[in-house]
Amino acid sequence: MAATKRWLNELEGSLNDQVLDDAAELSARIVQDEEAQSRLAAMFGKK
Amino acid sequence: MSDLTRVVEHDDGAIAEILLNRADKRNALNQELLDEMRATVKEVTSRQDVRVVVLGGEGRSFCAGMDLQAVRTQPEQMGSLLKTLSLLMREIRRAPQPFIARVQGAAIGGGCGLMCVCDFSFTHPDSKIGYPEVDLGICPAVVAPWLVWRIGSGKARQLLLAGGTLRGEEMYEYGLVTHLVDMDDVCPGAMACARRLARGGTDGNGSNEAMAQ
Repeated sequence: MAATKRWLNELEGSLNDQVLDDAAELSARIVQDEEAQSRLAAMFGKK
Repeated sequence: MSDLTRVVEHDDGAIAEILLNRADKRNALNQELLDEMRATVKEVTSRQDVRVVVLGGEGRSFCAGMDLQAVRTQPEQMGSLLKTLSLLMREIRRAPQPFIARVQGAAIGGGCGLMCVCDFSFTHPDSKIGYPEVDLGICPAVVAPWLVWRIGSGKARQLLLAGGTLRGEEMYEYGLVTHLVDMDDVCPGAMACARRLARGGTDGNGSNEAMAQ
């Protein structure tokens, strides 16, 4: 089971930390943008 | 460690259920919960006797996603939150044991990401699942690779660019959910699947250690 799971991870590319690090950093950068902050404020302001 | 996660063992420890335990916030992911989840996943998956892990949430919802309200006034903390979620998702995917998500109620945003990295997922037809990040001007990049790997680029584009949420039965058709069952059968179905998987071989002889590298 473990070897199969690891092999599937290799096949799909999910062992690539660089891709995943870049993805997290992009999400973090965009959420700090003015538009995102404005929309979040509007959403939570309604509650 | 606080009690934001809970571990329930079945069948002499062969099956471990890891439960998000923040039901009053629909298990929304804040820094404390994510840190505790990482520690719990590490502890459980390092055990040789655990063959299968079931991931669930206490209360009415599996997980409402990132606790954006908690960091709204401190957006710089989102970076840490997203990095921790990213690491947790990798640790689940790379664990030697298969993971089964049992999703009742809702799996939104980061919660949908947690479901997506599990090898199997059980939900009911009217659950609420999706990635509404673009509706909020947020980029769902942190969860996007996992979705692409799961259902392919074309379908992932449809879901991530359209935003919003869909019903569990629609996500089953997309291939994001592996098992669609009645609401009352989500927990029993996930457990039956876990017991079947637990009977499989483990690929022992050091594979677990290799997986952790």
